Amino acid sequence: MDELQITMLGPSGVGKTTLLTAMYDKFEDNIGSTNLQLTPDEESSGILQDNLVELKSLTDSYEAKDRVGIQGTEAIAGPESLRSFVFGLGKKGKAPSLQIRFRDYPGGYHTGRASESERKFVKELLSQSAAVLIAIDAPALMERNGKYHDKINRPDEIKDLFKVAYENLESPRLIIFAPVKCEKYLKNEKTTQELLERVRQGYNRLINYFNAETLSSNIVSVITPVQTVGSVVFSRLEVDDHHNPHFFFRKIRHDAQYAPQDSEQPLRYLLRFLLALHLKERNSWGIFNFLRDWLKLDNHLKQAVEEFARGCKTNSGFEVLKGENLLKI
Amino acid sequence: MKTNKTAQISSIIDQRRPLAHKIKTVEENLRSLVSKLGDLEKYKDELLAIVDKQNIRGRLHEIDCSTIQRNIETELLALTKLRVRFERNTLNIGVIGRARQGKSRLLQSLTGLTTAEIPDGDLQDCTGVRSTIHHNPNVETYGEVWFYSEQSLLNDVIVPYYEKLQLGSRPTTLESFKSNPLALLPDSLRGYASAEAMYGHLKRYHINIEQYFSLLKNSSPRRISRAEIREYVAQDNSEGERIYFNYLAVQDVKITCQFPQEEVGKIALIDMPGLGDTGIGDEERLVKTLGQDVDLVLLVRMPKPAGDSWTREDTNLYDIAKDSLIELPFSEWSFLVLNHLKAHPKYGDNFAACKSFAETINQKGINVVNQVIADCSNPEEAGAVLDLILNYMGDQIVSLDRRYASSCQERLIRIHGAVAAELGKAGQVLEKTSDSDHWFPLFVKLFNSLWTELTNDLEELLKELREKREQQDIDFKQRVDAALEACRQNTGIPSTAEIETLSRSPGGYPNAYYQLLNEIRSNLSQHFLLLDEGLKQGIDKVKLQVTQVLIESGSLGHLTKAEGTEFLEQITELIPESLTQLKLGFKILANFNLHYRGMIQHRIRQHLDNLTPNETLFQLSTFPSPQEVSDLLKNAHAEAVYYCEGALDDLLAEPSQAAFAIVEEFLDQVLRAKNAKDQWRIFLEEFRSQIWSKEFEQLGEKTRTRKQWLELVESAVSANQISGLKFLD
Repeated sequence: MDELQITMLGPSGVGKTTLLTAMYDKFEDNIGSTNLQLTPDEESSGILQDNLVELKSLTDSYEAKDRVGIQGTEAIAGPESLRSFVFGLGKKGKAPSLQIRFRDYPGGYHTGRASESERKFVKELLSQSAAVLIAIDAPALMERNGKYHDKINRPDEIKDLFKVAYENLESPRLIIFAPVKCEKYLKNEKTTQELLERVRQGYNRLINYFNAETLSSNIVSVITPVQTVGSVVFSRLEVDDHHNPHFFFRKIRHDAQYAPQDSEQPLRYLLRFLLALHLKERNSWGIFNFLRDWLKLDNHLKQAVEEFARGCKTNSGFEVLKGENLLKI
Repeated sequence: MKTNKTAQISSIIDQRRPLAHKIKTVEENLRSLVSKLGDLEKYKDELLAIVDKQNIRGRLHEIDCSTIQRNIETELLALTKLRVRFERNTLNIGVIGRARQGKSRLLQSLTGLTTAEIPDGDLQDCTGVRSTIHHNPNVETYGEVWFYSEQSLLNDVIVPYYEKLQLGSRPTTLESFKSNPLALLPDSLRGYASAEAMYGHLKRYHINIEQYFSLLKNSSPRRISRAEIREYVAQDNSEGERIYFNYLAVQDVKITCQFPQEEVGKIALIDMPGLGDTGIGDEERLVKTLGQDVDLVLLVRMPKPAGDSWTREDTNLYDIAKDSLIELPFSEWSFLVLNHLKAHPKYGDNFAACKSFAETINQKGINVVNQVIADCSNPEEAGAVLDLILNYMGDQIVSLDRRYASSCQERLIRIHGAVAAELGKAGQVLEKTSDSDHWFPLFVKLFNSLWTELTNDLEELLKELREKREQQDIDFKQRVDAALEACRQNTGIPSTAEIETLSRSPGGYPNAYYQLLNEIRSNLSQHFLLLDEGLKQGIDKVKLQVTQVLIESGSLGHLTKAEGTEFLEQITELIPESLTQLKLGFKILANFNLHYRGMIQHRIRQHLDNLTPNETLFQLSTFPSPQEVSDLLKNAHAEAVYYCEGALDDLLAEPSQAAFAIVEEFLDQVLRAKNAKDQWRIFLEEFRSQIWSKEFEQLGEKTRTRKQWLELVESAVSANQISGLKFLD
């Protein structure tokens, strides 16, 4: 079976696993009504189930919780310690025709301390991924005028990763900026716009890099804010005696339930991106070689994918930053 | 004839009015004169502190304004008394006498009132209430009552007992008198009848306080009907039961009724409280009333039928009354009524005793206009006495008024002379000085060097402030941190147990929650009020910095010892009005301040919405619990503090910016403006002898010191115009 790889970047603890859990849950809930099916492999399924139970119980207690301290994103173990989540995608009731592998990248390999083999690994990982999802800790970006953004989201480190990996890029790539824990800011139009602006500002160097002449035509980038829990919002931050910020979250109401919002949007964009590529004749397919034939044989699957992909949101906090033509279907 | 009498009284009262008006003007002029003399005296002391020349010091010492000031104060009191007499709408007859002499009977006979309104002194101690009874031919009898206030009852009635009876530390409020037990009579006074009786009086105020306390808060006067009068002037009802306590709170009662006698005109009778030996302060009250509220005194005495003679009490009372008004001999405004008891069933007839009293009166040194023997209980005989008095007043009051007024006027003229003499001396204190003709070049040289240094150093200070203006104000930040810490430590959020208790009252959880939101919001905003002090501190600091430059480089420290804001205010005062630019600059800086309200409050307030019941997003669920209420409160509070912190964070540099801005404004006004240098030169020229005391004579021509002294003398001279002190032609 053909496999598609997606790298997830973002500080540890930001909620990448939570995002995946919510994505899967939402897919099962609503998207299940289409003709598509998303099936996690056995190991992923176990992790996602545990995570879901935890998420649902998280909202049972109302007290504001300090969920994020500052922890480095450096992984102690080597590349083999990377977690990955594998889903099969296909027509309902049939064996999956495409495998999607989400890889959780713990960061740190490109720093001065990283060994040659580690650097090489990162470069490989990113260049072999069809899409990169950058999970953004929204409170760090927004609160106190973004004072803690650099420290927590490390946008410059992320930019450096891309610089190495995309040096000789030959085929298109999808970059998804996904602010998470952003429930508070999507409450009204004003703060929603502010969130978008802050993403553009906070990652402006990376975005500028994507505009480089050699790269520009191959980059699709979008902003998809994901409310991974829905009923829990940022409450406040407090700074301890060591000047470390502690972010506190709380339920919006005592009796509010787990209700993620828009968590399937990254997946919709991914499929749209793939569909658009599939539809377009190209000379060099590179890592997308599998796409040539993927949907050719099964018109029903193609229709299902298209129906799903057309549900990409482009307003209320969602925005295509770049490469709109590469999303045309 | 009788109609003439009414007209005559009205005419007397009308003649008094314009005089009262003139006296009022004279009183104002005298007050102004006293204050001018005070200014001069103060400046004299300032001069003595800086002037070394022995001859000038000697001449200054010779000027004595303070004795004159004291004399004027005394005259002001006398003038007030005279004016009050002339402002009255009635001619007043004061009736005095020892207890049980027939005073009340006489008043009843004259007014047609009964024992219900004018209680006999037969059975009880006097109540101390002063009644004034006005004649008005066309009204139903009614009363008006004036009550003591809490403060005046305490000061005028209660405290004198503490002093006289040595009861230790006196109460400072009536509340404390009320709530504490009464101190015991000291051993040294125990057993003495009069002390025990006085103590008994005071005790009555103490144990009955609940009965009359509320009356002290009443507005006066309270109008009462005839039937109610007794409740306010007596201790007992008509059955003799002691059930009334109102009188303890009553200062004055005015009763208006129709006197039985026709055409008595605008007169009033004053029932003076008898001089017992047990009431404290009665004597002072008597003297005050006689001196100010009475035109003629009627002494009542009832000799005992079995034989009686003048006693020490009689002469004492006479002497007290006699001294109440020094301007007029008592013998010209007092009558004696010897109360004739006709064939009294118990005592018999006292006519012989009355005659004997009338014959011996002069031997006792008691001098009155006339003495009359009359039965006080007989309205006709009493009426005849009144007739006699009214005729006398009709004939004599104008002349008495004139003599009284003249006597005051003469004293004022003497004071005018004394003031003029002192001011004459004051005008001569400063001799011609010998400031050389060449002082100006020296001044210009000194001024130019001061100006250079002053402008350099002020600009330097401004530069420092400019560099720091984007920085957080450290002091202010500390205050902000402390306030936020206080917010977090002292949230005012109750325990879940307390919340549970609260929720049991009507309205349940929602009410308890909303009430607590309000309380917590108010508690939170309280903590931020402290920031006011922090803002003030920051501005005070910069004012002090400016002040230091003005003192060190501008030498202005020679003009005042004050510092900071006070220094700036005093310099502002010293700058002549004509130097508008300079004066304005100093004034702006002196008055400048930052306030929590206006600068911070509104920024804090908008973050308290979640602690406001109708605005909050923190809503209770359908089935709340104490824990839920507690969680909501904690979160709403913590978030409010978080957002307030954010708002304050944006303000931390504001004090630095404000400091820079105000100093720049100050410099623009006083250094950089057109004419600024000229204004400084004019200002410093006036004060040159103080600023450069070695170089210039202290009291040189055109110096500020000299000018000011002469101005003060001049101003006192114009306040001492004879025309301003005259109310009689």
